[in-house]
Amino acid sequence: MRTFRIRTIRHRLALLLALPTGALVVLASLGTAGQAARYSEAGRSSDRVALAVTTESLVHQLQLERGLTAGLLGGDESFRAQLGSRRAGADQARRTLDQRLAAGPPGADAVRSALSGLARLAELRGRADTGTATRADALGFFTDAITGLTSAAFAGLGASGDDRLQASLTTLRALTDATEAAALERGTLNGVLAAGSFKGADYPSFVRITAVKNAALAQVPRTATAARTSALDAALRTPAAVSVAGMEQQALAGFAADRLPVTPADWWRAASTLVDDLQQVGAQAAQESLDRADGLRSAALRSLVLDVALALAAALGAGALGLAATRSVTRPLAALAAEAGRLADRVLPDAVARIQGAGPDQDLAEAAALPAPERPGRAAELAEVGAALDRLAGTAVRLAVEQSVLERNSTRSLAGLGRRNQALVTRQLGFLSGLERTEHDPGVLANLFELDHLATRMRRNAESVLVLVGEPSPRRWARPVGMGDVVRAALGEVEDYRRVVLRQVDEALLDGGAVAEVAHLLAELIENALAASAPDTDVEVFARLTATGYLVAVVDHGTGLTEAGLERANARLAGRESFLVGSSGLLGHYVVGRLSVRLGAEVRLTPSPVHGVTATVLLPGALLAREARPTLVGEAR
Amino acid sequence: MTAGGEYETGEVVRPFIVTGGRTSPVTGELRLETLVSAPPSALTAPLGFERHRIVELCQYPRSVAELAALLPTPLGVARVLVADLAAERYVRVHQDGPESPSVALLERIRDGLLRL
Repeated sequence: MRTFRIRTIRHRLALLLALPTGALVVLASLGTAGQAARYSEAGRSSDRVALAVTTESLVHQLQLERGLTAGLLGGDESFRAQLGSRRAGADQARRTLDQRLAAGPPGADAVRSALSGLARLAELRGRADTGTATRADALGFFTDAITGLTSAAFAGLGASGDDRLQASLTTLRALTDATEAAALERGTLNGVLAAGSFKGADYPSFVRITAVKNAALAQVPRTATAARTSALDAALRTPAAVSVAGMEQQALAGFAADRLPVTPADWWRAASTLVDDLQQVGAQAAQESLDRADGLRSAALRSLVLDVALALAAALGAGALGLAATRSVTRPLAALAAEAGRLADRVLPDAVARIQGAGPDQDLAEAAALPAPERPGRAAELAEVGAALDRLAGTAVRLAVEQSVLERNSTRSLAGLGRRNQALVTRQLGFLSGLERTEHDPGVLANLFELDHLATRMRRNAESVLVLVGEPSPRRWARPVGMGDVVRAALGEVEDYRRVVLRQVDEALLDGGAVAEVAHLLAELIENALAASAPDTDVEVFARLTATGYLVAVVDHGTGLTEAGLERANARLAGRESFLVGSSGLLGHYVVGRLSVRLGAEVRLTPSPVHGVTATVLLPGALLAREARPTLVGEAR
Repeated sequence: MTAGGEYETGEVVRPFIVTGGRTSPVTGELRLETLVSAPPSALTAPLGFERHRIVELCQYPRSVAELAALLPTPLGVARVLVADLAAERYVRVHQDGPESPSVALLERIRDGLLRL
């Protein structure tokens, strides 16, 4: 089964922070969604209240028309003049309501179906004008329509969650009922007065309407605000209201009388004032409901905006904190990684190079000093890692110093041994020279020569040790020496010198101080050439004076070297390759490399014309003494 | 650069290289006092190093001991070189001299010996 693994600390921290952040975002979203629902509900509630208020405006107009129509059908022609403007008012209110319904607010369907009760309005108006409709018909028509509209307007308004809005709507409903009852009373009594007396069911219906009105009016103060209550009281105490109450009592008392002691015009005027006043209070209550609904909507909007802002801020804050926390870990880590890289790639190699390159008199501790690391204010854990890095670097440098000290000491010991060895062999050779000078017997002389040859080669070995540890040769001559003698001195230092042929040696004088080292260098090259070729072949030496210096070529006829082998050998001969990387089998090349660097000579191996290798040494002109004269040199053994 | 600033005084070329290691002359009759001389024509012969030097020195008759002291080289080496040159006829060896050497010759030998 394959497991998904998170490899970086950044991602792990992100994962760690994702859960709480996600939960926060979800919670905030839920809260915001709830707030949005409340806002939307408040909006619907507000639209519904507005629709109810608009519907009630139409109801008010219809109430006025109903009263006038009832008066007209009762026989009082004086109402006909006012009826036209009332009908226009009702039509205007109807248009306003239609406009509001067109927007499709909640509850619109109920109001629309209630409006269908007005479908026969035009027909009724015509019949009222011609007097073909009865007063009861007209009253019933308008009252049914008004009742339907009011029920539709208030249907569904009871579900509001806000207490104050609920109270305000209840007050509005009570006021509407009271107004309707007052208007109905006005219309009913108007018709009765116009007819001159109660007829049939008029009286009981009038009594019932009055009871409904009083019940509704008594209902208002229970839920109305103080302002509405006092406004209602004021409306009920106006002179018109008082006279309406009086006329009402007279009408109730005059039930049996043939003619009622109230004129229709007086009644209409007073009752209309009362209805208008009640309507006014109702309009105030409606406005109050509207304001409350709008206020609720605004509050819901504010809450919604606040919630969204808080949710966004919380999400952004969580993200920013997560980012900051991640960075506070990853940045110092990256800095540590960079520091470790710098230590490994630059600081430590530099320090080791300084230690190895320090001169014999230089203080190693000073060369080994590392630059103090800069680590401003770091967390404790990371500071520990940094300290561990420092210890690591310190240990590495200490090892390098110890190694260097060891190397220095062994170099010193080797140099001392080499010098003593070289001095002993030199003394031995001086002693042999004395013996050879006076020896007459060829056999003894031959033995002395063998000893001489061995001692000469021992001296070369001793001097090789000195070269490798960087010591100069202790042998130097006061006067310049001919190059021919220098080449022959080199021949004395190789084993199989009889195989070496001096083809041509241009005469030139070499500085006395460089003689031993040049001879040593040539001896190493000749020894290599002898070792690389078959025992029955010659090694040829050409020594030519050139414009820039003195050139010695050592030509062997061996099997030669590959191109890569030549390249490596040339690197060693030029002193470019460290003695540390090579093997002891190539010591001669390192000796030549060291000597060529010290002498400023150029040594190169190239393939010989047919086969084998030619070693060329170009000695700089600075090593030659003046007064050189070219001489012809034949075979020179 | 010697430690004490001293200069080397010994030979640059080891003596065995001069003869290629040979110690026996090609002819056995050369004694210390045997006189050797070279014709002027030998000066232009293709001879190198000590061999050329011997021809130069022998423009006037010299003894073998004298030559060894002047080169300078061990006696045994000078003997091999002179014998070689004589075999190649670049020098003449005066074997048939007077029974007893002249005073002048003895004086020259003495001088030469003193110079050793």
